[in-house]
Amino acid sequence: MEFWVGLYGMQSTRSCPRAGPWMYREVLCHAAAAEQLGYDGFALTEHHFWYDGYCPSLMPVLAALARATERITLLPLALLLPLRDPLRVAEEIAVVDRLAGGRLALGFGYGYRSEEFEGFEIDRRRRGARFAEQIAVLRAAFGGERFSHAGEFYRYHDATLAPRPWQRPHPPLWLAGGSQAATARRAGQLGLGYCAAGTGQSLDGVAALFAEYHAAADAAGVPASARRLGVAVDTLVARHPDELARVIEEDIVPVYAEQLVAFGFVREPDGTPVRELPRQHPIFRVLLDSFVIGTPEEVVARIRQFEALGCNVFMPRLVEANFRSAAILAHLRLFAEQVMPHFRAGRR
Amino acid sequence: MRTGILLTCGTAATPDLDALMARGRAADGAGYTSLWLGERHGDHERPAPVPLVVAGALAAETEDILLGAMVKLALEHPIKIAEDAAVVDLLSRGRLLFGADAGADERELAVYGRSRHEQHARCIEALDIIVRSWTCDGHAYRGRHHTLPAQTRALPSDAMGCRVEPYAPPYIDPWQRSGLPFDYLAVTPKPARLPHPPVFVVAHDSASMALAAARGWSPIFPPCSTPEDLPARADAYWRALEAVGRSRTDVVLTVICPVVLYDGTTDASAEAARTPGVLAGTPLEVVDRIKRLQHLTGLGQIVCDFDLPGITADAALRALESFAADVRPRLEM
Repeated sequence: MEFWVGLYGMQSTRSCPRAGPWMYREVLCHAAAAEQLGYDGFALTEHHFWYDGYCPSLMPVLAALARATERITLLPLALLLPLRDPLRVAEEIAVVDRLAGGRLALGFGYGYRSEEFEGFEIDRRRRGARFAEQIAVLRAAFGGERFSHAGEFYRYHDATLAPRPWQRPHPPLWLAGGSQAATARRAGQLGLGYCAAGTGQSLDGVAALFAEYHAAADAAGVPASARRLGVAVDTLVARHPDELARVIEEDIVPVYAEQLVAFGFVREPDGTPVRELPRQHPIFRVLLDSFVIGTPEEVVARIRQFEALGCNVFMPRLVEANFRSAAILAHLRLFAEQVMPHFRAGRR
Repeated sequence: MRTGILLTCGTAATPDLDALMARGRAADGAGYTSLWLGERHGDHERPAPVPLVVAGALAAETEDILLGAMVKLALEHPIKIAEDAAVVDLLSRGRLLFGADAGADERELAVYGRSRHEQHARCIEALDIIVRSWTCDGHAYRGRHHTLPAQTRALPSDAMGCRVEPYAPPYIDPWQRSGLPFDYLAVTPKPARLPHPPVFVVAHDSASMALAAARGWSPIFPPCSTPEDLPARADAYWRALEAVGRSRTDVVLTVICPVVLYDGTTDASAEAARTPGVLAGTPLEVVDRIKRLQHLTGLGQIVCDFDLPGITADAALRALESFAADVRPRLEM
């Protein structure tokens, strides 16, 4: 099993505000630290028009990370492909993959916030169909031949991709989804890797999504060797239960109370978005139950459950709980030293 | 006089981004003011893809040098360009110079099925949207080519279409606005540099030069085969700038110029040296010619292109260093 540091977003939240240039300096330090600590990958996440400055442009940051690291896989998870022109994305992929010496992987996502689609003048309702066409364009571009394409959403005449990616034919492609079975099926059908969101979802829910993925891949004739499964989930490891309780109350709850309101995920029964979330609200129970939280032994046991589902890559989101740099570095180290070795016995 | 360098990445057959990075580091160490990246797509003999992504990598590779990116406005959504530029500015701690390139060659337009006649109007819209996205807390835009947000009901509340204080009551903090109808787009993050990264306009033609002058932005003159035209074109720019009441001190007239330096090892009869428009000579001759150009045009920044056909990568790197050592100090005296 591989470990990729998950979902790094460069956010300056109300509960932990930070200066922009400083955050972007830190992400380079954290990626280099993750590489030294033995992680296999480092993933960034994207949103647009977000009050806390959530990074909307992953490829320039990945290009910088490519020059600040030497070994680890770098990837967006997820790059919101339906908002973009696929030929432009193919060019960016090629350049970053070359800058990284072939260490780029691609995690795509559909996106769901209507603000994002309206800001890019894209019809949100057709994003699934658009995505399938975009993957076809990407594969045609990566083929290296001159190509033309006339589809429902995009038309290209006599296009070529230059330069081409370092990896041939192209970097590994993943699709990341929330809790929707349709996304898992789309990934299986298109022969992409699939990354489920463990946050807010039970183990059974993840198992069901993986089953959907395999069923769709079987139907499309995708060989077992070409399938890849991952799970991205908020992870908190601490040596003592007291420490866990402290971090949950001081760091995780305030950040989630803010982000859940901001995303508008929690609604009153009449459909209006909730503007204040009290600590007793049931959503916190659901979230904290889905997180991988505990002492190192407990966390190892939880990850084994994902491993048993056939998960190839575990993406712990170690950064969301606390945006302070020193705490992130200490947490990265603790997880790398206390948890990862249990899964590495045969490899190193 | 400021000095810059144009970076390119080899040929389509052998694109060499590592060499480009090395040259960026060398220019940073040698004390150049700026480096510049262009944008060309497809199997061009000198490909230059996605300058803002390459600039992101150079932000990590360099410390002081300003990062100039000449972005083709026609081929990407303006909001995406604004976001990418802001992120590169943050990554580089405020070192981005934004070059707006309203041009596109016929092949690039043909790939995307775009027509040439609407090209300029489209680029002006894009540039307006980009600058507002950097500076306005929230903005709505209705133009010929873009309506942002797509479902907006907002009519511009001021001439710029920006949301202005005080907001219509009741006031709701941005972080609590989710689920409410949104008539304005709040593009984040904002760039590091205030009010926004300096804008340069690639002066392909009189229309783009007029645009630069009207907004008080600096022009970049691309390399031209007839350098004799340059004084006349610069003069037209200065007159247009004066006509709108802008000050000369706010802009930097920039010229991209192919340079060949004779240092004893370069073959003075090489094809590159004899090409019209190439600044070729010994360091002292080049100093003279640049000073003359400065006198004739009000030149504020020269961007050297050392990576010319027939010049090896090693020779280009030597030229970079020798220009920094022998030419640059004499220009600043």
